[in-house]
Amino acid sequence: MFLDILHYWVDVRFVLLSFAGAVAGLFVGSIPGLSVSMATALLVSITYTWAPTDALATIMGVYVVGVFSGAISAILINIPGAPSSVVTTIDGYPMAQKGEAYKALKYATIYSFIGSIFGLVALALLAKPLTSIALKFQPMDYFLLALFGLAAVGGLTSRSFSKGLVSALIGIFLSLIGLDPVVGSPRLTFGIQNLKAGIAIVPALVGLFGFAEVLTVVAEGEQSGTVEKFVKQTVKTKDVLKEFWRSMYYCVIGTFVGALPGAGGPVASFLAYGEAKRIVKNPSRPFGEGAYEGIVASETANNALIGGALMPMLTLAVPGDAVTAIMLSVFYVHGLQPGPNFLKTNPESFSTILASGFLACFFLLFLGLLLAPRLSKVITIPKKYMIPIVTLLCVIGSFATNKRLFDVALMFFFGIMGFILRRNGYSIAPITLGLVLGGMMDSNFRRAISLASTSSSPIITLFGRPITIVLLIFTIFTIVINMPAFKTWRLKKDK
Amino acid sequence: MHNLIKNKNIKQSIFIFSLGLALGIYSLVNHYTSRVKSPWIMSPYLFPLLIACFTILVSISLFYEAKQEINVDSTEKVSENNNQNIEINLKETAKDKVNYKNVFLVIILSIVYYIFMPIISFIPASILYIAILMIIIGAKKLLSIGLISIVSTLIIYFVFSTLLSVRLP
Repeated sequence: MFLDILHYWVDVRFVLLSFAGAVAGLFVGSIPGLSVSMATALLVSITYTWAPTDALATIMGVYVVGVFSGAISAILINIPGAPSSVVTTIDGYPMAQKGEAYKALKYATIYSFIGSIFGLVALALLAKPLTSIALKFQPMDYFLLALFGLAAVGGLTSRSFSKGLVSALIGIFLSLIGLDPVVGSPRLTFGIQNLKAGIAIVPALVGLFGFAEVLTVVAEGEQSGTVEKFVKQTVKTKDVLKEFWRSMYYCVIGTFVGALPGAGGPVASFLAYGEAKRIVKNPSRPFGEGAYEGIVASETANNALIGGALMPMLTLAVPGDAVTAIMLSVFYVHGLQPGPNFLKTNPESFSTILASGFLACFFLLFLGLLLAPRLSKVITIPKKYMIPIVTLLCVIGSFATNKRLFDVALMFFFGIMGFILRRNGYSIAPITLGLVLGGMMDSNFRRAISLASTSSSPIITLFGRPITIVLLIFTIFTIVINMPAFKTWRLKKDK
Repeated sequence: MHNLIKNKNIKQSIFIFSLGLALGIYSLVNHYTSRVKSPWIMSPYLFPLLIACFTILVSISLFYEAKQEINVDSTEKVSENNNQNIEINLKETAKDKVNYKNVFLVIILSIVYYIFMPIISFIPASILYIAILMIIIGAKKLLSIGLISIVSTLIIYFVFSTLLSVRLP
């Protein structure tokens, strides 16, 4: 595998595409209002005619650097460029106010690099053992894993668990529209001819992440962030690396959270930040007032999540976060089928992901140390000039894959729906996951039921295997601990 | 009771309950009236029915959550009468910040763009769309609006159509 990765690293075209993706990731991640999910969704439609290797190189570049660059605006203007950088603002901006923006950016860059490398090494080492477990999965296990992912994402991404579940159910409902895969009859199309082919995933994602964001910016107006005075300091790398061993713990948290289907960057960085507050006894400054230990925790964890999120996506076809949900559609567009056999049937695609991922980590380090401090002008570009151009990109992105004008209408529809839902406290991430997993859940559920119906003891056939029991316990546990009634009961008990 | 009906989350839970119920009825009706008779385990409407049941359960959970919130709010409001006024003021300020008029205009503009794009072709329609969008969002300098809308549309067209071979509408 190492030789395969090396082979990609000496391919100039591959390196250039990965670099182009990294530069794009640096800009979209750092500019508030543009997001990595939005850029990845747009890239799916642009790269669908490319070779899978080229497409994956570019997308991994955007993903790895885009997750990091959210920290730039978080530190410089107190507005996180990506949701996973929300925690970075807590200590990053106070550091910038104290004239230590350069130091904060250096910590963010180096620990994002360490986190990304850790996650990708974990992916390289754990993907095979995970595949051997995945091979034992039966239809009911797939159904329960997806259900667990949706329950987890519902509980973690919304303030209200019920609203998170509503989002997930909307996603599943939308995924069921079109021809039924088993019988072949149209379902939930309400007589609309264009819906017979189902809801195309790219326009839906471009609408949910792109046009919905445009409407949000239009509704909320310009988020004016003032860039703090920038003073270049001498920050020794040796001093920065003093947090290395502690960062390994945050790496484990990030990778683990990433591997949980559905949980995303904000969850990883919040958990790691909480742990940092617990384990760092003497921070450089109190947490929340400019402690670099806070930036270390947040940035390490949200970048370590990348490798973790790719694990269930590649081995089980169950994405770990919103971006990997979009990446899953990249695989489908290119005729690749992630799942238990993916590593065996497509070892070159796995090497491509690792090669471009590691390459992007080095670009992250290079761009982060060299360009990030100079981005203050770019991140404060007035939205009134940028947003219309983003809208046009959304139109092109939604049209390009199927060349259907109907998809542009779908994109607008999903954008408006996403905007309304977000304004009412419903998260978008569970919709994405539901949309991607709904079809798989439907077919596996029906397959499991029909297998059980032929058995003499259907309940044992459905739930009698150890993997199924573990997944069932996890799913029930996640649902129960998030239920409003349980929360009220616990509150009363604590009082 | 009045508080209950006025609450936004309660209204949403009732709406979601109705959607779940409608999906359930739709699935049952379509299963039993389908020309190709199949048992429930093979029916295309088995999973939508399951989703309908989940939706109804989640709507009940949302109703319960909203009711809990109302109870907590009313307890806090009785004990902290002064803070209540501040809270209401804060809510009003937050509401004022959201510009729904512009959102409505952007949606209307997007619908008009969608209708006219095939008629007047992509480039002129997009130039007009970007220019009007900029004006709605708050751009005032006509020269910048004209330049940005024309140059960005042409660059995007060139990059996507010529360099990336992406077919445009």
